[in-house]
Amino acid sequence: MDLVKRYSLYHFKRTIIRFAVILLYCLVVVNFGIHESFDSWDGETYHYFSLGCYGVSMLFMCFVVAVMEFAEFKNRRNLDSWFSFPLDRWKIALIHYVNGAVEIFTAHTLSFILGYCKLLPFVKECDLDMSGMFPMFFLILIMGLCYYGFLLFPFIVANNTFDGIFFAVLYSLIPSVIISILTAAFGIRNLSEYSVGLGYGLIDEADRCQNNLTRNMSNWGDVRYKSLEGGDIASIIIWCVIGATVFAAAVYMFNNLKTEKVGGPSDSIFGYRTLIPIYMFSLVLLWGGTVGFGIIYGIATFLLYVVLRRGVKLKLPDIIIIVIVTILANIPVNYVYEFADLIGRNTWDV
Amino acid sequence: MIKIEGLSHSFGDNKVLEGVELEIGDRKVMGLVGINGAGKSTLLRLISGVYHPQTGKVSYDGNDPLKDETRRNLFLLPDDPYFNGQTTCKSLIEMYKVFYPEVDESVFKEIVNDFKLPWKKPLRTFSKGMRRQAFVALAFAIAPKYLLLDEAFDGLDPLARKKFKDRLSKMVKEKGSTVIISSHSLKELEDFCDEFVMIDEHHLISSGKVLEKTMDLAKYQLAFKEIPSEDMFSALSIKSIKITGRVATVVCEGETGDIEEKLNALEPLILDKLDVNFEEAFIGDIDKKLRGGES
Repeated sequence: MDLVKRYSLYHFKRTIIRFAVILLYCLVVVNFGIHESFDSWDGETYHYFSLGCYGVSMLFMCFVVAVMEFAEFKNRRNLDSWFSFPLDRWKIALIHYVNGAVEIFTAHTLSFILGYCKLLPFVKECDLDMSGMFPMFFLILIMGLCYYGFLLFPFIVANNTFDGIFFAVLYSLIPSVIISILTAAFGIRNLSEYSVGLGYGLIDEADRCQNNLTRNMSNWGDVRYKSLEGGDIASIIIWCVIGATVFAAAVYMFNNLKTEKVGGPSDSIFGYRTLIPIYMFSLVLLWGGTVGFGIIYGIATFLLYVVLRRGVKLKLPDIIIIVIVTILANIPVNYVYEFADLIGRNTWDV
Repeated sequence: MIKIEGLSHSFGDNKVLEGVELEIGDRKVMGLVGINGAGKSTLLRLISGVYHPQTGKVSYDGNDPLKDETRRNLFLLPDDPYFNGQTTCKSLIEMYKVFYPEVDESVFKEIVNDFKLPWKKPLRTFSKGMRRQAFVALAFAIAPKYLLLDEAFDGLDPLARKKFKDRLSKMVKEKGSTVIISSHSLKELEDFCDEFVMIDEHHLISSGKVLEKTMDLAKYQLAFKEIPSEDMFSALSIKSIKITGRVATVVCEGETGDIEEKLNALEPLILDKLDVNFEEAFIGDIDKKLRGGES
């Protein structure tokens, strides 16, 4: 047996307890998540089964598994051993990704079976159409695995676990922030249906599609089954491509990781240095500035840089960003929107 | 053979190694010495592929250590090796068997039993010395072609050191291993190594055979009628000098006959020749360098 197989097996065995805990969590969430709701507003009792629990448990699993699979590489002491072992770094990254993916697949499959079995007794009584369940299973699984791969990038570019988790959250919300700005400032309405942020949004996208697929898990009024539309398919494909590309970038970054920086402040261009300006400018644009309140944005930006630099000694680019944010935040955001109105706000649809 | 060519490495603005050139022949036990922060651990990490060299290259018989096939013949034992809260001696050998399938479990067990290390108790409950014993046992069980030890023997008790020294000699002889040991303790390197390199201020400043290093020097203890001064010895090439009351202990460089002639000219009451150890030889080098002399 070659080293890749030996290490994969060894790694699977040593993470089995973690897997058992995650599986238990998913089963519990699905067990309590798939429940009936009754409504008797018109004197009749209707049944409605919520399936949103699959998206929730997948979101949780992706995040926890991504962090746990790669957290041991955030300790420089560990890397002395790991990176001197006769196994290339990219192989280690792939083995850890695949191990996590197997855990996610297994937990998702078993919780799906549990949910399916829970629904079976109601098929006749409530006239449930179960045909949407299987596409939903694959949809959430594929989107979940893409999101899991996507999460590895921010986690790997960070030099410590805390920053890794923080980056993963911020990265997950970037698309959502961009869409919100475009929608708020320029009135590009339908974008939100495609996006809403990769983290929340990727799973949310799957969740939205699964709602269409399984809407008649209900005999509530005339809510009927709806198949996936072209937009849904396009959206799924776009997110899968993004997820796979970012995952490939994550493996590349891991292969070229500067071991000597691990454990210290995260100074990657893909970390705080880019995220702080993106988020602060976005906040200014979304929530608007009020004359005199710019200083609050300035202080918030300064504090974020203190976290980044692990001290109050800032660099010139940091100071420039703080000054720009402070100035911009003093400009009432309405001006921006009024400008947008001038150039045709509320008229653009995608 | 391990070949290091023009190796340089910095941490941000902090230069750690610059233009390191070194060749380590097969079946050698090489000591890597230097003060704290000199770059010994960084050099070992570069040699083992843990760090990617910024400039220059390292090769093992012409092979790149960044390739996993090369690292199959290499084992780095860092000063603080990886283990988790649940790792025991038993799980440690199981983990390393994954990466080094040729590991000789019986050797590991033999050493672990020899030092009476608990087999199923977590390593986190071990003393620092016991943990070192477990990891050094692992290194001997793996017995790679290239063994890199970062302060692996520091802090071991004399008995353990003696046992490991014997095993190391046996491993080099039987398996043809090449070993690099970094240490703060020059005395320990004297026990283990037949060659040395010294790093200071980012460069390799000295290298050679341990025995020759000590043979170049002579150490004398002299007692005088009056309290002596350092100036009295200015005619000699002094490496180090210590004056306690009327007794002076000097380590000097040069021909023994010439040195003794000059010392006798100082008319001491007693003149004794003592053995020079490796540590004194290096401290002499460093002292002289700090005083602005040649290195």
